[in-house]
Amino acid sequence: MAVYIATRVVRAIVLLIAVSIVSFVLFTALSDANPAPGASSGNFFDYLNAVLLHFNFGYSARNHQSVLSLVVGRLPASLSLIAGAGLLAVAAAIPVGLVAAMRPGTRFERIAMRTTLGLVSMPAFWLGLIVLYLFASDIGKIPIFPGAGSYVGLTVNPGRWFTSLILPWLVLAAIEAAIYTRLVRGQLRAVMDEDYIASARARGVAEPRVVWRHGAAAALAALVAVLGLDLGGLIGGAVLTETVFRIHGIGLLGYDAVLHSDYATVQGMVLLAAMFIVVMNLIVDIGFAWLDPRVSVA
Amino acid sequence: MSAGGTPVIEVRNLVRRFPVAQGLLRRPLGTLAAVDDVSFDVISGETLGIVGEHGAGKSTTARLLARLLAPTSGEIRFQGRNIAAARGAELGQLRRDVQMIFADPTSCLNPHRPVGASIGEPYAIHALHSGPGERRRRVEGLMQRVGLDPAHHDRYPHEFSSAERQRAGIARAIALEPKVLIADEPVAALDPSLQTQVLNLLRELQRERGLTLVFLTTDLAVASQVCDRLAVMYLGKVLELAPNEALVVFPRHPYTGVLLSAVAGAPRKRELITGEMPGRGHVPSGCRFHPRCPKAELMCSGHEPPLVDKGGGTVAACHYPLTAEESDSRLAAGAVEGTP
Amino acid sequence: MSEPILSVEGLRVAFETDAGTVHAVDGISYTVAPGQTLVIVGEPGAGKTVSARAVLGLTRGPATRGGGRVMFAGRDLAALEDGELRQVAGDAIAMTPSEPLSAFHPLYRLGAQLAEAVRAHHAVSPAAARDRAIGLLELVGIPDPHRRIDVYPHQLPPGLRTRAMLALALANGPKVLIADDPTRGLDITAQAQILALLGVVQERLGTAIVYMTRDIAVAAEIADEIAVMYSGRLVERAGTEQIFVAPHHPYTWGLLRSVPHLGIGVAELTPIPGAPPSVIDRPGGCHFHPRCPYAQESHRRIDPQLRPIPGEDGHSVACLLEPKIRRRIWRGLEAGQDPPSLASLASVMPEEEP
Repeated sequence: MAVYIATRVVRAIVLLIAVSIVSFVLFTALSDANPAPGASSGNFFDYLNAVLLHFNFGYSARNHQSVLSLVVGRLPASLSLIAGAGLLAVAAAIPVGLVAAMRPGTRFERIAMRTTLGLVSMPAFWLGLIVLYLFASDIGKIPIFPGAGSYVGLTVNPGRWFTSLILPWLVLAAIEAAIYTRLVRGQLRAVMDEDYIASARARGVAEPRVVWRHGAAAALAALVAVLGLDLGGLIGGAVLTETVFRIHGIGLLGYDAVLHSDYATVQGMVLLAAMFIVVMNLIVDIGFAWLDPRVSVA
Repeated sequence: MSAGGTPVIEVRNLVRRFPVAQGLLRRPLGTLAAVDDVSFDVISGETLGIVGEHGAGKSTTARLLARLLAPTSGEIRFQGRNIAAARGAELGQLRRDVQMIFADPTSCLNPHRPVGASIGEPYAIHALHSGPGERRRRVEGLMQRVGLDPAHHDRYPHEFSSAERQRAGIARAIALEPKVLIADEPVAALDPSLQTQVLNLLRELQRERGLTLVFLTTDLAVASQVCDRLAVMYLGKVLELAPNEALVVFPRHPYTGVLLSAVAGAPRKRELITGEMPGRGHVPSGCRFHPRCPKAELMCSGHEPPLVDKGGGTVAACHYPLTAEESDSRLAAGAVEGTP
Repeated sequence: MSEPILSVEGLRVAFETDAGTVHAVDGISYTVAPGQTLVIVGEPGAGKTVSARAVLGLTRGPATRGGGRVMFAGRDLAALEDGELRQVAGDAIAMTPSEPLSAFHPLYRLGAQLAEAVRAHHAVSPAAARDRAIGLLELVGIPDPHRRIDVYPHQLPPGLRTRAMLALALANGPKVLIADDPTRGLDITAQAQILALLGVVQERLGTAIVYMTRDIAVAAEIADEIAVMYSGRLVERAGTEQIFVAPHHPYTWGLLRSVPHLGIGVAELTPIPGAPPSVIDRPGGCHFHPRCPYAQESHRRIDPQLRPIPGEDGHSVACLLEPKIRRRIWRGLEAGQDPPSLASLASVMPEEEP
């Protein structure tokens, strides 16, 4: 296990360096006017030194701030959105997916599968606009929840923080939950066809225990691995959701930076997002190895 | 076939090591000798069986003989010439003379090409019979010879049964009229009722073309039916090599005895081997069979016995070989031949 | 022979697939008595695995049709609800799959799974279940059971996995063990060890064993009775000696004549012509007729039933040839004569089965 974790950490570091290189090459080619962060020379080693050792991602000319401080300032809003939506999505997806898998052909399964298919096909910005049109307190037909631009920080006003995030959470969670529901259902169905499930039945293990202890446990272990892969999707959805709801998080920061050709900010964000995904994948890999003892051997 | 014929392949002190790496940086821990100082001759026109269980080094031996792998040290002489380090044109010629048949026939048939094209591929590689009509005629001839319908020339591998695919693999192997065929578990993957069809085909081809056959198998019953001489391998070493009859009736190495008595349905006193096959890289000291050997003495853990001539064409590597009485007592349960 | 403990009568399993209906098991019947071993010999695709799983209702599903009876202790298991069946499964009747690792859940330790198998049928404390688990590993000859109990299945060396699989099946001292080719893929010395172990266990527990294998030599080794399975049906059933000395079905003849056995000198092996039929498109009449050198026109139409052979106690065969003719052919084959020509047989052969 220790060897496995060490291997993964080394791989993550190598991957980060590779991402830095690609990002450096891309952005140097794109903009001569905005040299890479930390180095007016445009020298690659200065750049690596700045990024990896000093955590210096450059300086945004537009906002007169370092990219790092910009991002750190926006982090709480994005984390609130992503964590809340992620939890909500998983909490909805697991029971619905498991029940749908265990009751094939029932009305519940049909409805669940059609709903999730619909949600998967909806872009986040479109669903966001619809939700605003229906429920936002300012423009909505049924004005019950705070609408776009109402976000305030948790430390400022916890009550308003919560209510302002209800609609964004629902939008982002609905789409992610649809994906996860289909994944959970697919995983459990695949697992229930495994020989070891038949073997458990052959030993006389009662069906509920077969489903939960044997089936669901294996299906959810597999789900953890897939969640790591889907992080990029979650972040992409968050960017769109923040833009629609005018939440001043990292997504909106990036959106504005792109609109105003603020290369330093875009590049810094690309790097930070990549780091985030690499680190989260590392955590998922280790978590998966802890759940499935076969993994650390391979 | 006695050992007195002309050797077509002479193997001397053949060693093939594979690196064993472990840990984060794939730090080489050392090497594992899959084939560890092995010497034997393959006589022209005979069928030499190499029998052993998983991990014995059979497949590595097969690949070394066909020079799909290069040996770490030692000699492989083909028709008197050392080919251990052959390269380029010399290796190309060797590939024509020594062909291999694999356990999984799909491994040599491209799933996206008609079977006829795969059978004729050696002609393409060696730029032979280049006229398309000519090549097709030859491939159809080969298909007919191995019992495939030439009309199926343009079908794809998935349209054939496993036994037919193995026939196609054999057709491909004999396309260049090799002198030696190396068959690595050629029937292990086939349904029992089809194994005999393929075994008989191999024997017919051998008789008809004067082929030399090296037959590697875990199945001692198959080997005893097909081969003239048998070599028994264990953890990378040949422990005994003898004419088929001598080996079956009067095995000298205790491992051979255990192996014979383990053949299901064989009418003989069971002599169960103890313990499990040692894992990768854990080769016991001295005689590598001693921890599981019913006759092991102190000597066996300290000194590795050399292969010694025991008379009657048998060589065995054992300090305390089985006696005639011990062999007889195992046979007492019934005749060797015939069904139980 | 004592009263049978398990009696399977006309067992059928058919699956609906996209390619058509697979009649995997097409009406098989057998019995097995306590302490006895029945070996079902058949090639891959003959339906051995499905018939093994069907006994404990493991083939049930929306796309499956079953039929026949599985009589055990006065009850028809095939008619039981899943819940009731689970009280028998793993307790009085145990089963082992053909691949040892597929018996185990990959995410739980060996000890937990052995204990679960015990606790599924007996209300014992976790500590008692663990002791029992260690005892089971000892029973099947796994060295160092106190340590091995805490490993994950994949961490067991391959040589011990088959033993661990048997420990799991033997958890509650079953009266019947259905073993689906447990030595497939093992080296012959390991196979000999496992067969010997089964013998010891059978002697100690008095277990009836139904053993599926493709290898008739294994059958020779352990069987009291052999049933030959071909294309979803049993074509011949008899005591072990009868099968080898006086076989009646042409497929059995083919098996015996084609399978190599340890011998001196190079004997001619006679292959069975053709290949086993596909599971979906099975031939009409006698399923073996396309490969049978003695097949008559009528054999394409008439389904042979597995019937006792008059004058041969405990020997049944599903063949449309007359017993007298079959005996003559086998004697000829044994004496090394070529198979008699069809024409010479036709004169003494009835067109329809009597």
